Amino acid sequence: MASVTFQNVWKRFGELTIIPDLNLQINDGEFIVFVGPSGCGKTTTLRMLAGLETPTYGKIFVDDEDVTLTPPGRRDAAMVFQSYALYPHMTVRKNLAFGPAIRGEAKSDIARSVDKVAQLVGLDKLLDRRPAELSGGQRQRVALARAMIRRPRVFLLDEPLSNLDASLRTQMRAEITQLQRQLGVTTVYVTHDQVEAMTMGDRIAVFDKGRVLQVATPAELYRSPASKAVGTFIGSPNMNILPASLQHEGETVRFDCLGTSFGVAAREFSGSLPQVVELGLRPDEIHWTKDAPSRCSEKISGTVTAIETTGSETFVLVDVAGTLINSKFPSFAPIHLGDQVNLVFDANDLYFFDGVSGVNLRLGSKEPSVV
Amino acid sequence: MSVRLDIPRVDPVSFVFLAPAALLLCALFMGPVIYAIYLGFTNLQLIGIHAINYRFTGMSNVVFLLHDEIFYQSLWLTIVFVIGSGAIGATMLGLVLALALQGCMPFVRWISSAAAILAWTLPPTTIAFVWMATSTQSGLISLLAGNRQFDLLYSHAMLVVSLANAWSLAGIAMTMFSAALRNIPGDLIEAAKLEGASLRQILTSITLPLLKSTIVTCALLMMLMTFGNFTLIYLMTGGGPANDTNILPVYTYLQGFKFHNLGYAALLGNVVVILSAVLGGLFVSVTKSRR
Repeated sequence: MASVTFQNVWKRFGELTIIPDLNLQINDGEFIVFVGPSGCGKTTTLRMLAGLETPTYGKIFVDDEDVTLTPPGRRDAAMVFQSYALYPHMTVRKNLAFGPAIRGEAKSDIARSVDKVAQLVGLDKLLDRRPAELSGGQRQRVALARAMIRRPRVFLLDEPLSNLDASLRTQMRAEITQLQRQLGVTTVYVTHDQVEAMTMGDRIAVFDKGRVLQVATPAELYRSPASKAVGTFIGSPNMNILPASLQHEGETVRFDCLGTSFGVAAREFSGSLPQVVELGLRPDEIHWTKDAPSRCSEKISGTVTAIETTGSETFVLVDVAGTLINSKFPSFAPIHLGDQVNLVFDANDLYFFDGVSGVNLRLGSKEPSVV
Repeated sequence: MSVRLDIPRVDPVSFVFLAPAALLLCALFMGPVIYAIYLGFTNLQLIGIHAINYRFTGMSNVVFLLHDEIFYQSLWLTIVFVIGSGAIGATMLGLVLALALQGCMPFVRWISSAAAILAWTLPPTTIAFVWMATSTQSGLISLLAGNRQFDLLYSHAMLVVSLANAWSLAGIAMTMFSAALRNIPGDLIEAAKLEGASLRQILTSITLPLLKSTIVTCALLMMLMTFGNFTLIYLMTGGGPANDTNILPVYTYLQGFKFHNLGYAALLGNVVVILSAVLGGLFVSVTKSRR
C-alpha cells in the first residue's frame, strides 16, 4: 500500500519527446486508470513507474521514497503485461511460485500462498498445466495471480483485458475491480478502452500526446470534461461537436447553432468568451421529436444517413446542414435511410468549448441556466 | 459413403513426373552407394594385381575390422572429437557469443558477428594454417608461453584440432542462438526483473530453458558438421602424431590412399556412412518433433 507521485517527469526516446513534464499524484489504495489513444504515453508512464524505463528528467516517488533510479526488482511493484508474459516452460504452479522462490521465501510458505492465491482467482484445478494448455481467460487469471501473490506496494496492469473476447472482458472487469477493493492495493490500470476506464477506476487520468488532460472521477469526467478532447474521448458513442456563432446581448450570450438560437447567462462562463466556440452534445441528449422530454426546446432537422441498431437502442446519424449528428433513438424506431427527421435538445445539456484551444468554457455546475 | 477428401490422395500421373528425378537419384546416388557397400566386401587394392582382378571376399574384411585395434582407437577418437568439439565446444562457444552480443552496442555486435561468420566461411586450408601458425613451435602460443620450442599441436593434438574446429563452427552456432534469443519475448525477461531476479537467475531459469530446443538442434547440427570435417584434421596433423587425431574419416583415407587397401577403406567408409546416417536421422527427428 503506497501513494505514488510523478514530479516533473519527462521521457524522451532519442530526440522524440514522449512525455513532456508529467505531474501526477496517485493516492494510497486508489484504483487509477490511465486512458488515452494508443501512443499517448500511458504505457510509457506505467513502465517508468515499474522501473522498466528510466525517466529522462524528473522524479518518481512511492510514498516518500525516491524510486526514480531504483531497479525494477526492488520497487515492490507487480505488473500484469498485455501479453501476460507467462513463462511457457513452467506449470501454472511454478509460474506463481517463481517470484517468491527468487526472493528466497520458505518452500512451505510458497506452497501455501500459491494455493491461497489460486483459490482466490479460481485456478486451483489448473495448477499443473502449462500456459499453452490454458484458455485466454485462464492465462489472464494466472497473470493476475502471479502479480497478486507478492502483496506488492503498487499493482500495475497494462491493458490486461485487450486480448479477451467481449463477454469475458466484461466479467474480468468486474472481477479485477472486486479483487482490488478486497486487497486495497494501490493500482494503476492502463487501457485505451474508455468503457473499462469508466467502469473500473476510482479516478481516471486521460492522456493525450504525452500530457495528462484531466484527472477526475468517472462521473466528473463525464459531466464536466476539461476540454473538447476529453469530452469526445469519454462516452460512447462519441460526443457530437456542433459549430456555433455567438453574440453578446448584455447579460446573456446568444448562440446560433444549426438553425436554432438560444441565450445563456454570461456569468455561466469563466472569463471572456472567445470569437469561435464549438458546442458539445452527447448522442443520449439529442432526441427524436417523437421521443423527447418536454424540456427539450431547441429544434434542428436533417436527413438520416446511417442507422446502427444494437437491439436495446438505435443510433441514427443525421446530416444537419452538413454536420453529421449522432442521436439516440428508441430501439427499432420506424426510421429509414433518407428520411427527414426533427431532433430536439435542451441547451442545458450542451458543453461549450473554445473553438481554438478546446478548453471547456463552462466548468462546474450544470444547473439550468438558459434564459 | 464417398471417398474422403481430407486424406492424402495419390494421382498415378505423379509417378510419371517424378520418374526423371528418381532415375537421376538412383543412377548418381543410390548406385554408387550400393557399389561402395559392395566394394567393402572385396579385396580391391589401389595398385597391384588386386587393383583390376579383385573379388568378393565375403566377411574377411569385417573380421579384420573387428580385430583392428586402430579402428577401435579411431572410433573412440571420432566420438571424442564429434562430441567434445562439435556438441560441446562449438555449441557452447556459439551460445556464449550470442548471449554476450545480445545487449551490446549495434556496432560491436555487427563487427563481432561478422568476424565469427567469416571464421565459418573461411576455407579449411586457411583455418588449418591459422591454427598451425598459432600452435606449433615459434607460434603465438609458444611465444606467449615464453618457450619457442613449445609445440602445443604436437603435445595436445586432439585439443588443438578440437579448438580449431569449434572456432570455425562457432559463427553458425552463434547465428542460430542469436535468432532464438530474439524470439524470446522481452516481457518475459521484464516480468522476471520485476520479481527481483538477478541476471544469473534470469539466464538459468528463463533464457536457457527457453533455448533448450535450439541447444539440442544446434548440438546435433554441430556434430554432423564436425563429423564431416576431414580436411581440417588431415591438413593439420594427418591423423598423427601416433594416431592421436586419427578419426574415422582420416583413417579411411589413410587405409585407401596411403596403404592402398581400397576394399577395407570402403568398409570403413560404410561405418562412417552408418554413423552419420544415425546422426542425421536424429537431427531430422528432433527438428521435426519441434514443429
